[in-house]
Amino acid sequence: MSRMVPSESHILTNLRRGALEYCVLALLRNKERYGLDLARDLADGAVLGSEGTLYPLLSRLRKGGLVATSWRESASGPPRRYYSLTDDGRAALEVFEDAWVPFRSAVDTALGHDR
Amino acid sequence: MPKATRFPQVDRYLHELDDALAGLPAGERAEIVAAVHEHIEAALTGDDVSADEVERVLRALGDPLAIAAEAEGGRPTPGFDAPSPAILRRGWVPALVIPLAVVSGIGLVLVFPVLTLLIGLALLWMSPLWSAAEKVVGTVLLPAPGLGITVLGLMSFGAGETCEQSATTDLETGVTVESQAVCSGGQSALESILGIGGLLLAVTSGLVTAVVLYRRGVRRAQAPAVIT
Repeated sequence: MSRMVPSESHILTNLRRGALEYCVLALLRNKERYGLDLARDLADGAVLGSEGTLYPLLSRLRKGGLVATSWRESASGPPRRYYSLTDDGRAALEVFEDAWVPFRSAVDTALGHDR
Repeated sequence: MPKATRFPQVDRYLHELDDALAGLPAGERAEIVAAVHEHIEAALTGDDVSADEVERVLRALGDPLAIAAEAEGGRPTPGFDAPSPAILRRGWVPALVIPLAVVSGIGLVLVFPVLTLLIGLALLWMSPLWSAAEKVVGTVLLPAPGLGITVLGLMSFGAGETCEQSATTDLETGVTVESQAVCSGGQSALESILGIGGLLLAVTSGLVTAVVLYRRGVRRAQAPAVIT
């Protein structure tokens, strides 16, 4: 097995490291949401590996002050943890978006995927 | 420790997750396990939940080792990106490695078992199918049954009893008086009990470890997404 050619999952891991947390922040832009809800939304794309990997990320975001958690009563069982954007989280998301759009364009152009 | 849930599969999953997160500070570890627990409970609301649904939810959550990798991915670890050999995550790996390590313990005074044990343990460590903690436990406990048998065998061979007969003969009458047999060496009753007890402990712990690691290895080998 060639040591120089990375596997797809290796590449995806690296790509996610840059973008995943901002996708999570973006999902929290308009309202607070609970874990399962976020996981279901992200699981459709390639951005989240498996649903469980969302939770260490949320823990990191909370510790970094980008996300806050609160408890809400739930109709169908025990109280649920809801995640919401802090002001710092909102600011970080803006910085990412400003960087992302030109970055994505540049990569697409380099790969020859421009329209 | 994760709280018990309604489903044994879920309990097993949360315990595996808790083990996989052993490298993290206690607060973070508990937070992640609790959040995943909450996710599962939210996904499995209702009284009539089938085993298939539970399986589906757990599979969507993914391998606990992948979740642990994400948790550690927040900390830079030098050299962590080295890809593991893909061939060592196939299904035959647990079937080879586990029995090799367990059986090799027998007769460790000889060269051949030492070699096969080292090969088994080397494969265990190189394979991505098990976490570091699992590999450490496996290294210590998988050879234990065979080692126990070897040690017990050596003790029995080395501890031969020697008995001396001594007799006092009354020279005048020619009658033998006070014939005694003095036996020394051998195993005292206490040693025997400790030996058997130790052997049972070694065999039980080794076999339990073997079964658990084997089943986890086979399951992860079959899962489509295994961490690299």
